[in-house]
Amino acid sequence: MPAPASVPLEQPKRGYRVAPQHGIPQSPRHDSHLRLAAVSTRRLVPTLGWVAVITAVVVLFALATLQAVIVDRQTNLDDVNNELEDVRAVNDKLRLNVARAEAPERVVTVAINSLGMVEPERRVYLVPVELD
Amino acid sequence: MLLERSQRRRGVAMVLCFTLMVGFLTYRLTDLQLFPSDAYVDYGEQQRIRVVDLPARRGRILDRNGVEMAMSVPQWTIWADPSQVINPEEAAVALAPILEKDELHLFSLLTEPDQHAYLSRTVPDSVARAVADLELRGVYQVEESARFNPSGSLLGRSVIGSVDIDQIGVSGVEYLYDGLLGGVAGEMVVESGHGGRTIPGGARHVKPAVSGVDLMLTIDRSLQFEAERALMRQIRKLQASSGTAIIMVPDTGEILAMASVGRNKEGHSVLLAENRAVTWSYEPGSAMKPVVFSGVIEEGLGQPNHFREVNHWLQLYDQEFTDHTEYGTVVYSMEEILARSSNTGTIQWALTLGSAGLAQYMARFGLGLPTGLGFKGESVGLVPDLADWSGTDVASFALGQGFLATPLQTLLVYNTLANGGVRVPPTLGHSVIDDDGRQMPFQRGEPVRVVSETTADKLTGMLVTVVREGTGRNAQVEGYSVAGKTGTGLKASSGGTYEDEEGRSSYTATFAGFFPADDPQLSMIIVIDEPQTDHYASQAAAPLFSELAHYSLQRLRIAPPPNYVTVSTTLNPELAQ
Repeated sequence: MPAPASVPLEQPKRGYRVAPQHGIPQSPRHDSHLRLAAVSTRRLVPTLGWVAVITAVVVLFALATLQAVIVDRQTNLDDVNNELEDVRAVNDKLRLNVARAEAPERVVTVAINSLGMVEPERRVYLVPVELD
Repeated sequence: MLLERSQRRRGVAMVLCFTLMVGFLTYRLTDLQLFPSDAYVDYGEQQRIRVVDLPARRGRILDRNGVEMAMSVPQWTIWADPSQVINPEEAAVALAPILEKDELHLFSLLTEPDQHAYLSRTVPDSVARAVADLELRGVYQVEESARFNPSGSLLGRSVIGSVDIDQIGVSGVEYLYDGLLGGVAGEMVVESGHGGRTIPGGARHVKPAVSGVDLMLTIDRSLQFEAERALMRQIRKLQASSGTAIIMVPDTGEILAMASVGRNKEGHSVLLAENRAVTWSYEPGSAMKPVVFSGVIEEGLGQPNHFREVNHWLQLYDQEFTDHTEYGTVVYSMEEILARSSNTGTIQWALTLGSAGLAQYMARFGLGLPTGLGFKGESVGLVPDLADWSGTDVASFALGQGFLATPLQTLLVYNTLANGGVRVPPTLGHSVIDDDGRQMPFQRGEPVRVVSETTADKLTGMLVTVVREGTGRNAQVEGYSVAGKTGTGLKASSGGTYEDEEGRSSYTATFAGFFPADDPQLSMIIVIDEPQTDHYASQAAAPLFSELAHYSLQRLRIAPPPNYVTVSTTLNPELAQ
């Protein structure tokens, strides 16, 4: 009968605890449910892709929104400029009307024809003098 | 098996075709976008880039009190693109009554081969609205500036002048100061899309227009109005052909009013577009006698109280000179000679001064020389060179005959005496006002001393006597001392003589002077051309001088000197005691 295969001491049998070996560096303790595993890139790439796509969409949407706002503001600016020109024109016309209303020719005409006033043949002005 | 192979071949062919198409489009797109052709770039820019003219606002013309005398206001201009007008005949018929134009004329405009035809420029808003209501295809409106004189289109017409349809000054102050009033037009280059809307972030280049400055004149609108009104009345009364009035501030050269009145074809007196105060030259007559006496006194050849024997008749070489009345031989002082406006007495003093002396003083007073006003069409008058003077010219020139001067030049002689012998160039420009409201005065011309202050004072005294006791009594102003001189000048006929073929003479009547005489604040000249009912200056010009002087003093609130205070007894006789 062949001799049973010897079991190396450094590899204890499952279920046994190895006695502490002083002077020998102790290997890290391994729990049965924890283990080191290489990080898998297969899952990371899609995630980053989605993030990039979403970011791009958001940025593009923001740009489009910003562009719409700029167009809207430019339209408003054009309208305001046109309105300003119109108001200036109205202002000039009103100023012309005021100046016409104050014209001496019109004042004389209204005074004579509408108000029944007459021009004096000779204007007489009194100058105050000191009376002793 | 064969079927599968055929399908596979067709599939490959389709993929190949599709790939080629996509490849070609990709190539074309890349070629266009990255290596664009200049032609396409230009074509694109032509569609997008819009050049907008930015017209400069023409400055206002204000009187010395800031009242508008000319201003620009936007108006509508009606134009058409004949290629777009569907029915030119109907359009012409519809537009004619609104635009107040001939139908045939409008029809010819609407059928022109060009793509642009002005139908009516700078029309009122009501007309523009009426045209818009017609909704005619191919008929458009655009805004343009029009120039208005709010005081009435005729007030100050000869001074203010006018602009053409493109707002460029062509006469008067509008022309004289066009560089200041006109401003500089700008332009804006923008990328625009549908409907002319600006493309945000597109190419944009703006060269802003520089507005013309507002120009404040030395003219007083009320004085101008009154001068024109009174002059028109006088022209009607005298049945004269024309007349001129100028009111100035002698020590600054500022012109307060400058009126020119004439007659139209129907014979009615009207305000003229021509500024005859500076464009018309005439023989001023006796109004020039003060030049002779200024020279005599300045050269120490005589004094106002120096006497000499004078006869109403005098012969010099082959020419006879007379006074208007026969008085034989008398002894007159220099002051009396001027007060009576004696021709023979003045000639004797002129002979004492001599031809060279008279020529020198005429030049010193600015006769025959530019006044410095710079008005378009301004005459410098006509004074012959001394070398060309005949033996009798010294006598003729002493009487204000034989040479030509403008009314303004004549008035400047009196301004010089009012200023103590200093000639100040006349000006119409008071100041300019920029967009920020800053007022900058005009630079005045350099004054020139003509005679000493002593001489000027003596002449002033002599001119006061003329108004107080002499030929200028009708120019008196109650409460004020006036210095002035009449001048009844003979007009040369087309034949070169002072009588026409029927032996009749034409005259000009002038009165020039300043007031109050002891502290001159205003000067004035009235010139009536060819008065019919009364040609003597004392009757034709002096009364108008008095009327306008009275108004001017009241208008400008110039109080009478204390020693001249008088009280009218018309209303309250008790105050006169």
